Amino acid sequence: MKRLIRIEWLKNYSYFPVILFSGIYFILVIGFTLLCSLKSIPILGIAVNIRDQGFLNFPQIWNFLTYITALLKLFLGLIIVFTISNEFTAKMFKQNVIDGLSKKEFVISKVLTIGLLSFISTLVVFFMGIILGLSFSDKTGISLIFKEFYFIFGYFLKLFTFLSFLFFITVLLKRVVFVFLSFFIWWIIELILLVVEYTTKVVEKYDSQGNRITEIPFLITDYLPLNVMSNLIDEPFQRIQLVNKLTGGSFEFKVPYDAVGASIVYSTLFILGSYWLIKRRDW
Amino acid sequence: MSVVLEVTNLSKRFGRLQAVNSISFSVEKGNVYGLLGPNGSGKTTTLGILLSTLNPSEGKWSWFGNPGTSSDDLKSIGAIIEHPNFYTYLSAEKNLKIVCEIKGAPYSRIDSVLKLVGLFDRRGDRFSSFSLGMKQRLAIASAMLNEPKVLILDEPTNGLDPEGIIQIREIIKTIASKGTTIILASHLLDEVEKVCSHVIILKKGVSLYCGSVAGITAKNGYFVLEANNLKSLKNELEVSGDFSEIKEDSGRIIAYMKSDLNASELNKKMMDKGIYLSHLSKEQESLEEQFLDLVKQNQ
Repeated sequence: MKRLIRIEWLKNYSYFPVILFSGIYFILVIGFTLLCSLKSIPILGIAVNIRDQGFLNFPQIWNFLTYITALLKLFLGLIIVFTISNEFTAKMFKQNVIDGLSKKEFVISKVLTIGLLSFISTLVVFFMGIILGLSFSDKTGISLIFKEFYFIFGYFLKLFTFLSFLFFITVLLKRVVFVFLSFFIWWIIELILLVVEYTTKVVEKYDSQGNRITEIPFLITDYLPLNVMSNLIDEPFQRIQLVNKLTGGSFEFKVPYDAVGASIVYSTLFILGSYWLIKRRDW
Repeated sequence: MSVVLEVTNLSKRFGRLQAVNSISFSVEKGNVYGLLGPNGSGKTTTLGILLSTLNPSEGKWSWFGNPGTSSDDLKSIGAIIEHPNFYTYLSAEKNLKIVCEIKGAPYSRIDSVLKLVGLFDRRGDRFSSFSLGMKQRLAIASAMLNEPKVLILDEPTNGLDPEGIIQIREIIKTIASKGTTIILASHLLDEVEKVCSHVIILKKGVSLYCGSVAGITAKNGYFVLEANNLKSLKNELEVSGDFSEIKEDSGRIIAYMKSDLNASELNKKMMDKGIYLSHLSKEQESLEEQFLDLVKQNQ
């Protein structure tokens, strides 16, 4: 395993897209952390104070930070797509195999890279949360800090699944342009399917008091890969509004076990699928 | 002699194209093999299968007695297929470090292989700044990192200038002199003749011959003869029964021997019959002629 990581390191550490995109990623993450610590942030002319809104309170800070930083995962995705695409377009995969790297080892080395990249990014978010939370949270305390620690795990899983997905389509299509085009098309397809299923299946009813009840039945589109990934970390804004209400509303966080299970299944399928393609093809 | 590679009835089909059609051959330790054949005869495909980058349609093979190609076998094979492939954004040295990691060779080998191919001074330069000849030499250096038992070269001099070709040939000869088994695929016959002791001849995916260069050329020696009276010369030759084929070609007679004959004996024989030769030379068919003959026979 150490050998495979060393090989990946030698291949990638001075590759321009890797330096570029990891640079952009870390500048954005650090910039966002600094932005959060400001008293007021001008957004579209309105001064928003993240601190006063309660975004930085334990435990919802985890929900907030993982949700926002996950939006930047595209830059990590670019690293994966560029490096793996280069292995195929520059015929380096073929050369690696001829030199004695087995096809299995190649896949494992890429999975290690994906895992390591997700892990580092998770670690960064963890420290962001600890630093921002300890500085600005209303209340602290070990049990409160780790109450919704699921988000850290969910964040790792989200990145890992996302990068495995990109790994699979890069193996499938090889070229960067095709990968992003098809990723974009797939994203739109999922959106359309979601909208179609939602409008046909979800029924709105009124109970005896005339309150509106939305019945959400089992949705197949909830189990499409990109939706699964987005279901891993729910958006944090509703819950913060709920907790902020003067009436003292409360929010009980539930771990989305369905999405966790589906993500693990998807990552496994993407990795095994990549291995199958690599093994079966003529290079 | 121990067998390094044994191939039995190997076939590869790409859709409707039969690229390799049930070829069999074996490679013995310490020899330099030429894998000969015109473009599209299945050389690269065969090597691709033996190096596990292509999946065979049918057939079996074994490296060092182990069936198929394992990545451990590949670590003790140095191979260059088609173009030299390296990470263009990395220096020669860093590229070789990656190969060292893959093959499990110590980094200390890097300097000595770079010296072998004369690239030591350029070790810190990016691969993308190299000329084709340098790229090809770096590929050989890379293949030599793990002190391979077998070196496979596919058209190593393709596209090189004369100086580059000579450099590569010298390197191959140096490596061969150390007892490394070499398989050299080429369509350049004189190149194979210059460096190889054995040949495997492929044509349209079929193997026509596998054996020593000496073996293929010794079969047919011939005399080129001239005399004032060509007709009676031809007659005498035919009567003697020593020749399998006698033909006239632009004022000379070319006579193919059935078995080895001494030139002076032939001269004496003709003199006894009253025919005075004005030209007598005993020649061997070149590999090129042999190759063309073989290919023609199998059309």
